Amino acid sequence: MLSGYAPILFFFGICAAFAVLAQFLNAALGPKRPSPTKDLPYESGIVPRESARRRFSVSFYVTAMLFIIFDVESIFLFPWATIVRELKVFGIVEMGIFIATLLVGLLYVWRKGALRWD
Amino acid sequence: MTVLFAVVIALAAVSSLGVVFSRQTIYSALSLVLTVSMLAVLFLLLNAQFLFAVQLIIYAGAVMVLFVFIVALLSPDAEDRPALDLRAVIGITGVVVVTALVFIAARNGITYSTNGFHGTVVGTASDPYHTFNFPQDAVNNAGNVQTVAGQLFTNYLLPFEITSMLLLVAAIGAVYLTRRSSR
Repeated sequence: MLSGYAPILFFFGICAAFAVLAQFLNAALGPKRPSPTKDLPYESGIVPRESARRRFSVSFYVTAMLFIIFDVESIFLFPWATIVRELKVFGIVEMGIFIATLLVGLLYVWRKGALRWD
Repeated sequence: MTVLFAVVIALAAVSSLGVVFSRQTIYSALSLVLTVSMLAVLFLLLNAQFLFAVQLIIYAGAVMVLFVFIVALLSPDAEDRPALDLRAVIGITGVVVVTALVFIAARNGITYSTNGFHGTVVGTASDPYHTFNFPQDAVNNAGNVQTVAGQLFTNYLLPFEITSMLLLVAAIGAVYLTRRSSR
């Protein structure tokens, strides 16, 4: 049963080996002429204005939380879709109740403006 | 099989120790990614491919993104933690108690088996959607996701619908709390 996953394991092994090898080869072969400018964090060529070690906006938290909620909702849709023909109308109704409940949440979030990035 | 199981368990144990002992909170979160990924592989070993995918998508994906954002929101700096205080004692006691409970459960027949999960037979075997016994061949014939769905949307319909209420409360709570704090 699990032997079918051997190619995936092989794939992960090659990925890990490539990552390690690339790091090793870079350290071994690359020329090293360090300077203070080179040690700066690279942000698309823009000079850093302040320390990156500061608090993130709370909007990130809200976005991640809402992502989880609707991620879980969509996860339930996958098993439901596989047997929706067997469940017939009953399946449509129960998923309708589920989605309607979450739609109330989506409308609340929308009305409160949490989907806007202020 | 047993070797793979041992490797997965060992990686899960080491990474969960990394969660507890990392000085930087962000490293704790990254160790937790490995822990939940290894738990996902355990689901795979138990012939629960759908739960494997769910574990990766929800926990290793979405929940860990949330954790990392919360770490970034609260304190990016190293956590100063006391060496041994009441919380540590309570935590160690909890680990010992849960481990003992797992061993007692394993002694009494609730155990890992390569033939799939075996519970008490309640439903009829002729109706695959109303059974509590899941031999691996039958599950693979019916389809793994179909078996999970057949249980979820019939026997466990109420918990499923209550889940939507839980998610609704979470959505409203997140928005309410952050709107209040941003003013």
